[in-house]
Amino acid sequence: MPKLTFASQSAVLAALACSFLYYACSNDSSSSGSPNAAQGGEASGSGGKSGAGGSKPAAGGSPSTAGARNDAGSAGTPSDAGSAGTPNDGGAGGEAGLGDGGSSNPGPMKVSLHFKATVGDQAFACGTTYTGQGSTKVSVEPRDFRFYVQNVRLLDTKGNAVPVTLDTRTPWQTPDVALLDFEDGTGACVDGNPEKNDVITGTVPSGTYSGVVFVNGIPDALNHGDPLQLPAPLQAGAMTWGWLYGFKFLKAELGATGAPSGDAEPGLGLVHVGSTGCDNALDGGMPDYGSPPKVACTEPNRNEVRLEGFNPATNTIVADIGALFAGIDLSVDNQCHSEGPSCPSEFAALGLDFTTGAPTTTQSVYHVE
Amino acid sequence: MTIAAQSALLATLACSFLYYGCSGDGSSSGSPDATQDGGASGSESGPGGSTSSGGSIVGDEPAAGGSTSSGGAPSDGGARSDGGFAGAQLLEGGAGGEAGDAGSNFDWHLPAGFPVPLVPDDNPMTRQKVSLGRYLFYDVRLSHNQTQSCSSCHQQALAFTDGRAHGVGSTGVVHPRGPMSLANVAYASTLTWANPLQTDLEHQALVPLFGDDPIELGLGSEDELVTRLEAVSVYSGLFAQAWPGDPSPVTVEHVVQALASFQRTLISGNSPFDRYQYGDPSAISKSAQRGYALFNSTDVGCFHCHVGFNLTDHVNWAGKAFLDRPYHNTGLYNIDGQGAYPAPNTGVEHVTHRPADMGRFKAPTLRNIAVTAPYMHDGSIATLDDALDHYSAGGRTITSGPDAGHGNLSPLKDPVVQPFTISAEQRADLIAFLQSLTDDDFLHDPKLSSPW
Repeated sequence: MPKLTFASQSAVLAALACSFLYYACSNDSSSSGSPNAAQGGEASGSGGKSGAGGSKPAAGGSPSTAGARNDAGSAGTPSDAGSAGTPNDGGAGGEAGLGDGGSSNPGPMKVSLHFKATVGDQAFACGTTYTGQGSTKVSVEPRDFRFYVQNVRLLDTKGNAVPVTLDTRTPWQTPDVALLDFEDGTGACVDGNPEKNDVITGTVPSGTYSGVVFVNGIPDALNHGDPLQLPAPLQAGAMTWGWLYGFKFLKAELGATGAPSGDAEPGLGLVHVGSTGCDNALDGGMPDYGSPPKVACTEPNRNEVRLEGFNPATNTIVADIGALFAGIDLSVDNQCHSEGPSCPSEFAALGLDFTTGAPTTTQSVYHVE
Repeated sequence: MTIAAQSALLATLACSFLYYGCSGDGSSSGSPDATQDGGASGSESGPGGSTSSGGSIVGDEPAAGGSTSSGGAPSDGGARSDGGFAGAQLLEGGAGGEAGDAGSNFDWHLPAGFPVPLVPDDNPMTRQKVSLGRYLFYDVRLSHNQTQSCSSCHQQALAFTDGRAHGVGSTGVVHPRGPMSLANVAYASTLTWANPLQTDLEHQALVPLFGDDPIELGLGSEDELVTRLEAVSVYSGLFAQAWPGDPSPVTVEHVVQALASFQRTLISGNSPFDRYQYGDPSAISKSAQRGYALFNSTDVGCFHCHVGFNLTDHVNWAGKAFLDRPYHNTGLYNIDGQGAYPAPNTGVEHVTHRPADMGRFKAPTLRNIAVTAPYMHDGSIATLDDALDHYSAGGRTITSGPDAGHGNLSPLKDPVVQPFTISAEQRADLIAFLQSLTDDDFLHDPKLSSPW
């Protein structure tokens, strides 16, 4: 679990300072701050059942107060821990109404992070054939491409990672996690559905940003909740990973279009990433029968992506499924369910150490356009 | 088997026949002692105590809860849970306004010696949910391509298995393991062959419904199933009866709750052996009676893991003092000399990634075992006779191929699995006993069959 860096501590302090002066902050963007705050409150109510809802609605606070609290709350949240109640949440909320200081901290601004999926340098689309893919350069058709994103931050001009407070945007986002979905259920994407999403929306303190950091994953507190109780996009379906009582963080599949030789399995590149090595007998205890197990996993398998030279107003984050499978022979059945011989290549492409499940600092799947 | 051990066994048997009488003899101390014996026998090899506890297959474990009750007749299963979970259900059912049968009033029709199953607080048993769950269990609409239902792999006549070594999903994908019997699944501490994370039937149902490795029923989304079920007229009534007052009761949560409720009624406890235990000495053959004694002998030692009313140590019930979820490596494989099992069937290790969990699987119930061939998680043992070969060798030896290895030499093998020698007649006796566990009423009970 990443420790709070000095940079993110600064972000917390900045957000707290903003909350002291919440009226000034919200004055900068009063049209966006309040609705966001209200949505955040709702989301935390629905997420609260799983203990994941980070920020409870402010007791008697104004909407803009809650908005400031959301900033502070998620700023203090390391990627793994989910946003379940940090001390910062309550502290900021309680004191915000006192507002007695004055400085020129920027208010929140809306931000949209646009994603685009590609197969190599071509746009990703179900039903399209792409030539020259994988280590043996075969023709493939997409079968799936979806992934969850948590802990989104923007890099300011000083290199500080400033948390983005995610909007509640049903069914794609809660304040804790967003789902990017590039398949539309056509062609070979037989497990999919027509709905797609290629954007993450939220708020950040006004300013100039030149990079983005995000994690492919779902916070622990939500990952092992009951998918029948969780808010969308954490629903039972193709992204659930019931056998490990969790979710797939990423589901990417390319199927070879050529007929297999003999009675071989059709060529397939498949990557399902999720936390593995899990147990529920925590603290030496036994599972609490009748409630969702308190699951902990030894390999979190959450990769962190850091992209410089990214201006959210003008740039797009490209997710290249071709790069993910660049080292894989797609003429044969090559499945990685976070276990299997092909995993090290794909995990490395995502920025994961397959042995430990820890993030690495290099990845080749995402780039800025 | 020594004379002394036989005497202890007989005494225990006599006690189990008249077990209310036994608990009357020492209701304050006798029953708890029996419980402790039962627990210890799974992990220790103390010859005297374990023989005695193993002997009372029916008597031991139910008596655990019984000690808190008045020690009444064997049919007082309900009373056993007074101090435990059912009390909470009573409140829950009342507060939740469940119409129809409140969970606490659910009539389980439990066989003699069976404790009350544990039921999650938020899904109390009702007749209506069981009825709905039965329709769902047998409905191919629960698979994406509408070719399979739960019952495709869990067939009543085979004690809710399918006779295959490996399950086959709705799209033809072969499962690494065979479907487990659902007989008495309500009592399983954890579900499937070796997954400590799966503790409730409600959540477990999501795996066959939505899982894609392997694809079983192959559903893609909650909406797909809900939309499909809402279009079926019989369901509008069934869901409404199960959740009266709910304006849109067709949800995946309710689907899995109903499926779980139905599965909890799949209770098998009326085999010839049970009738023998509860008063009919002629219900099983002399050979089977000898086989039962061998089963519980320290030499053969089946009882170490196949103990208690459900003939498995992996049981739980309402009010049980301790939650046990034992798993055992029986030396079925040892492909690297270090105890390895062939992937992906590495048992609990597959889930936890703990090396010590390699090859550890649940001991399944032996009820109806004669109709659930082939055996073991991967169906790699074809007959009961072959299963006895595996155990009498203290672990199987495979002489060639990728899985070759000496299971009896596995460093990860449970130490209770030790070689033994039995005559041909003794072997026949053991198999006769195992065959006496077939519950024909269960295999043909119309209430558990397809309602369609």
